[in-house]
Amino acid sequence: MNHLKSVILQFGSYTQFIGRFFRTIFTPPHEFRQIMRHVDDFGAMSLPLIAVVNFIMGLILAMQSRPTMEKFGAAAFIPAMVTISIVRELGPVITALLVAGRVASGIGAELGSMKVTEQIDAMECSGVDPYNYLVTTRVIALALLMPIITLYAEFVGIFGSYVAEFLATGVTLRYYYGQVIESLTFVDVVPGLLKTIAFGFAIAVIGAHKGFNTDSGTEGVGRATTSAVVLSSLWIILIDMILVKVSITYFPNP
Amino acid sequence: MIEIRDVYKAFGSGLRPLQGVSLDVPTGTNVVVLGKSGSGKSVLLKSIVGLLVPEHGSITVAGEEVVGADRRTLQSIRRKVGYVFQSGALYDSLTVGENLAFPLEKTRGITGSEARERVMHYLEQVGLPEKVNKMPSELSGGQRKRIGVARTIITEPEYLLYDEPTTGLDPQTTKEIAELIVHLKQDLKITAVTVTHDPYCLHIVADTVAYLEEGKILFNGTKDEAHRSDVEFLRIFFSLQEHRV
Ligand SMILES: Nc1ncnc2c1ncn2[C@@H]1O[C@H](COP(=O)(O)OP(=O)(O)O)[C@@H](O)[C@H]1O
Ligand SMILES: [Mg+2]
Repeated sequence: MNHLKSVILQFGSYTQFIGRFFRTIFTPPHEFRQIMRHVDDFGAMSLPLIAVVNFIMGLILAMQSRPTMEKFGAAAFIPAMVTISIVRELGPVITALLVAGRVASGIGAELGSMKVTEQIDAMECSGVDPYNYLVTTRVIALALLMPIITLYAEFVGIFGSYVAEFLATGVTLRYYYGQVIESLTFVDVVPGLLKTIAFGFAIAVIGAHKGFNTDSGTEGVGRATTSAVVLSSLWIILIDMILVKVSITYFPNP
Repeated sequence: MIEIRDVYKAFGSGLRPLQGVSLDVPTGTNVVVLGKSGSGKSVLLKSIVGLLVPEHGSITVAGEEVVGADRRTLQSIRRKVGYVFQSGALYDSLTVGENLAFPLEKTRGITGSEARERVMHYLEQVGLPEKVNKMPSELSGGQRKRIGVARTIITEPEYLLYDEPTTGLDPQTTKEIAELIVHLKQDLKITAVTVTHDPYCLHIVADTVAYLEEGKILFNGTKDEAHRSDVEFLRIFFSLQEHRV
């Protein structure tokens, strides 16, 4: 019973938190400089990790599918198959999970420590809306950034698969990318990128909510950080499931 | 004038730090609030600026009601009231100079050379002009508190709330901050509430003394009256002071 109550309270708290986002986003002041700063920070925080992981993922995907595909005489479809997997599903989701690990924890820790050291109170007192200045800017920044870093991650992933194929067959980059481009359609790429906007929104909102609701000193900050990562990873998977269902309904495979 | 009438504040956890607090802070005076750790002194200060909202009671600042005020009214009250936070509460992603410029730019629209002049002027007031380009993490606790004071007074508030401005500082810094509080009151005619555990600070800044316990103001009077009071906390407090001064 207590558990149910806390779930309902949490839900209410998030609803209010998100409501505040949509109220502040349409009312001045708009902190463009802060938004750009966060885009920069979040990008710098997550890009190296995303590059490495997606490169290796693409490489493994191609390496692992080669024996099976060869057995069925379908090795020529490897570029298409790997590309579709990366662009439709693996690129967006893996990137989002990595960003959750880096950025949700970063936001949770930063805002959490601002909360416990009374910086958020100080901002409120000086007449600046801390929600607008600290949360709205981060949510916008991450929602804008996600499709861009995902696109980058997908390029790197596909390049990883090329490297595996090059080592196996000596195929040229030009030919391989020709195959990749040919296998792609609008409905493969765009829904995948659009859903990363939802991932970015969820990651930043959850990180900021945990940070804003931090209490009881430095252990509180630690808890906020960890639970921001856990909860936002969970939500990425849930949102993905819902959006895959939606996109299969509205953008059926040709 | 700040008037606090019958204020109650409880938290979800069942804690009830304020249970009928009433206190007047006449214009131009500095009221020192004493009380054990965890007795609700910070909760009281935060209620005055609407950071916490009491369930019951009334708080007026210069005649404007804080409890239940809408955002606009709160903004107008907060323009008059400066809050010096216990730890300084400096924005740790901004330099010292940017910390001071922040309230100027955001709420007064003052930027550029005028802002820079004001920043340097107030850094000089707290004796730390050379720290303008430092990050808060490079400062000592005492320096952070002084910068916190500078950031609060840069917008020239009429009221100041000091939350333990000298706690944890060495005697010399304590003396400097206490003197700064007195100086601000005399020069800028600031009305203030000061929460402190420090006998020296009380000695030089207090016009009157209020003692908070179990959610109520158990004592309210002059320093002399406080000295003679038989409230146990005050007896212990002043007997410690005799050892020190
Ligand atoms: N935002 C809050 N939520 C829940 N409890 C709080 C909050 N702020 C303060 N408290 C609790 O209220 C009590 C009084 O706190 P405080 O006013 O900070 O004490 P102090 O007199 O030492 O300044 C403490 O037990 C504290 O844990
Ligand atoms: Mg306190």
